[in-house]
Amino acid sequence: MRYGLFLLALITAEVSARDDAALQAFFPESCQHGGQFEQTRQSGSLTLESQGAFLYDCEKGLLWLTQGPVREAILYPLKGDPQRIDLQAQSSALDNRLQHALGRLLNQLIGGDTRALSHQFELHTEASDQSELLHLTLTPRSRRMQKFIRVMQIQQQPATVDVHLQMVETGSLALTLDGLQRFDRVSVAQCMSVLNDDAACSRWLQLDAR
Amino acid sequence: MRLPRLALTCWLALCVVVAVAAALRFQSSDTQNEGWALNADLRQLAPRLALHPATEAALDALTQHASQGLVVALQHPDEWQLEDAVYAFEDALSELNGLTLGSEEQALSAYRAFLLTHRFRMLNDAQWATLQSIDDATLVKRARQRLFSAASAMQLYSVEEDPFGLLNDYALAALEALSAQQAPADLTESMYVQILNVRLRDTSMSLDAQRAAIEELEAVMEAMRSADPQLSLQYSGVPRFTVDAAQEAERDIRRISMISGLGIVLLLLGILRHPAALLLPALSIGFGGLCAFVACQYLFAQVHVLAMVFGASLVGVVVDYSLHFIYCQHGSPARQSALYRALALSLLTSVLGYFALMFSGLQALQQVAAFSVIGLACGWLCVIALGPLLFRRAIEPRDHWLRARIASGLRGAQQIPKILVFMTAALIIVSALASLTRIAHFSDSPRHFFNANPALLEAEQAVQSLSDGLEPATFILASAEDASDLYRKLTTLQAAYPEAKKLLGLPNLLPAPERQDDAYERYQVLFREGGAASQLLRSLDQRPPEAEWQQALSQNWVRSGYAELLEQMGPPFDVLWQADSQEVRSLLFLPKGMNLSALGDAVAQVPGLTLLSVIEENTAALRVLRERALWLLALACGLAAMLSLTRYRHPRAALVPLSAIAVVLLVLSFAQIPISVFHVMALYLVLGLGMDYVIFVEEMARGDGDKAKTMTHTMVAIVLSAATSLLSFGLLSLSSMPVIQAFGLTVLIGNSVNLIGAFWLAGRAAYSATPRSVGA
Repeated sequence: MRYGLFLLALITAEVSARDDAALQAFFPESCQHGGQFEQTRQSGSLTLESQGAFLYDCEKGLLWLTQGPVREAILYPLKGDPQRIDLQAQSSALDNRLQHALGRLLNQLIGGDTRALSHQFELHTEASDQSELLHLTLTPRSRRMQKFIRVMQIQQQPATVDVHLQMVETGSLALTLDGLQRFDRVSVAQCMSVLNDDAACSRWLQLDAR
Repeated sequence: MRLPRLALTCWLALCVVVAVAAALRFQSSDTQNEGWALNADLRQLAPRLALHPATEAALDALTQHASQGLVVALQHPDEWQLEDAVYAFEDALSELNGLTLGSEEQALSAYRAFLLTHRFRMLNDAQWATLQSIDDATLVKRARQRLFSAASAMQLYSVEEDPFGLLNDYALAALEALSAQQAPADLTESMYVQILNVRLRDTSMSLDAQRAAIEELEAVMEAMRSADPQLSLQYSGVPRFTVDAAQEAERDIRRISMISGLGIVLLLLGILRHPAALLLPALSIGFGGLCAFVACQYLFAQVHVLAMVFGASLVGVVVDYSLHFIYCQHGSPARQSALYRALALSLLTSVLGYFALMFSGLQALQQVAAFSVIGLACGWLCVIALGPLLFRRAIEPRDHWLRARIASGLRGAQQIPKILVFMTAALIIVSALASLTRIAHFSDSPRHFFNANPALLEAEQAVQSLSDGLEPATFILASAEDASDLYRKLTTLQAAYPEAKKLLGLPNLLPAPERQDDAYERYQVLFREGGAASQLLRSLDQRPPEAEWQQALSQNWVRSGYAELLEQMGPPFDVLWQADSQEVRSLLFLPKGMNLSALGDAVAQVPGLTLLSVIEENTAALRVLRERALWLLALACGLAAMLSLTRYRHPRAALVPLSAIAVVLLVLSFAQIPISVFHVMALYLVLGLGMDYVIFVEEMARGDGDKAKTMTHTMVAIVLSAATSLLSFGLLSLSSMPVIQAFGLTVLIGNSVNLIGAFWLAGRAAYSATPRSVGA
């Protein structure tokens, strides 16, 4: 909940006061956070639901861990190729541009990089409803992103933040982010408390900041 | 007066023939697209490789495509301000009339759709190897893993269409390879880069329209730079060079043609005081050029533009005929007889000299020969036929001061000892021959023909350094019996030179026929009722669309057609495949940074593959052209010497043009000016003009009357003729365009020597005590 509000506050502030130096005040005191996610991918008539956890470090990048129904850990570093981490903490590169683009977007979204998002998307906030929860619509400005994403919506819920990506060709992707925790410096115990995955935590803690 | 009437009748008849021929040709150009055909491809001058017409057409299409493209590089230290600048640039571009954002989205969309239609035939080598190494259960497990993976959040095809993600990965690999050329190079830490492709909106934009489009682009870029001083914008591309070169040439030509035109008009009108003195040379050159053009269109499938330019320049000798005619036609019958004899001999020698080019074995030089010979003959006919009509009465030139100086010059010239002249000429000729083999430099690269603006070259290098891309104008041509053979050859190349896997071409878009068959067999198993695909979807509680899969499988039993795909993708992809009943041909592109030498060695080992660099081919073609033209110039000089010996029983007449040519070669060699085909072709003009001067001096000297007066009269015509040629051709040496300068400088030096030689000959003829020997 706190995370969701934080994210939305950043973005709405960016909309209303872009280029305002005061925006810096919205950045988190700590640049490390993590939480849980639920993902629903719609492809044709098929619905694929999964859940997992994530860790974000504004200097390292994002670790996205799918825990069910399959296990998969992908590290999206801020610089360099995305990497898939197996159960032995060995990584293999995912070196195509689509993965780079996806990693950048996820980093910007989870990291609350309002500047990046507001430059890549046309932002539109809908008037608050009765519950005063915010609803943001992001339409890609970049021609490259327009090839894949039709529209992205971020909906503030009482306890979560819902992110919905409508793809151009192949259905949609819905994410629900929940249970945000902030860290000053992620310890092994804290990493395990979020991810509960030895291999992923091992790789994450080894990762040098950029 | 019977001769002029007969000639006039012939001339009128020729006019009618030319007009009818031109009209017929013009009409056919409307109806069958076979009309006036000018070829500007330098490679065609002396093709080393006999390319199939379809491949030639493909190369032409690529050249046309490249000639419309501009690459714009935007740099900014701030990533997101750069992104904003890109949007602003795209918006501004959409408002422009002449330019549009280059996009291959339509082609890529067609590709995506094609793959979907033929999806059960698509597997790349890595996918095939994987499918060979795992069983169906493992495949299902991996596919299930993939479906829930974050990495597969963005897919090109739905799960029902592509449950294993194989098609998606195949397409992504292809798109990755194809879009690599548009990507910015590795970013520096301090600057972010975006590369945008911009194209001229219309394929047939005039130079003025291209110039306007470039100006619009520059205005947009300047406005953006002003708005954000940290933003760096650079652009490059063929249209920029074209427009700049055209502007430079236009400035040059306007300046030179104004001076030369004004000079010729003042000279001829001021001295001859008769408008026909301008009309006759103009008509004879114009008519000669027109006849030559029409005839060459009939003789050759198409005329090369360079052949036309050279040919038209050589027709410039016709001006001599006009001036001699004006000066000499109203003399005594013996003098008139000498005039017609001189005119005929002059035509004969020039025709023989230019005709030597026919033995080159190169169609370009044969076209020059045909153009110049026909143009010269028709121009000559024009002078003979129209001259008597335009100059019924003798004109009274205001040339007293010129005659006085020429008479004085002739007296001075006759005092120069013959032996000294012969020794000097011999020394010059021998030195020139030695210099050709020892110190002369040659230049055949088309890059040296134009002075590219240094600022443009700098921008070109800057833009190229910022973007990954393809080697410009360099390809591998692959020809094979069929598609399977083609893919086999490429596999052989990759085995010999693994870097060749980076080549871009058909294998990036579609698998080899045999791989398609393998894929189809495997997919048949995977997508059969109850097969792995069905198991995968059932494991996800999803009913598999087996009927749809079976229908798609039955439609995919035929191999995917390469031509079909490329036709759907359109330009520039359609150049990747040409096929007929005998063979198939394909072009492959080279990413920048490949070791061309090593690649060339590997390509040479595979029959049917050829590494083609258009620049190198053009250079080689021009080198062959220059070498042949130089040898044939020697032959033409030999013919001139033979004529001199036969007709005048003395080599002195031939020594004049030979010395002129030798002096030009010596000057070029010692000045370290690289000799190009343009210098050599200008030497033909020097030879033609020199022989004319000599023949008129020798022939007119045989007439009756006062020799000194006759020679003075003849030399006035020769000096006027030389002055017009120096004004029209010699002034070209002031041009900043190397090709034009080369032609002008050669004629300037060579014809000056011709004139000096003619003076010496005329001086000897005027004051020689012994009668001149006459040939048979």
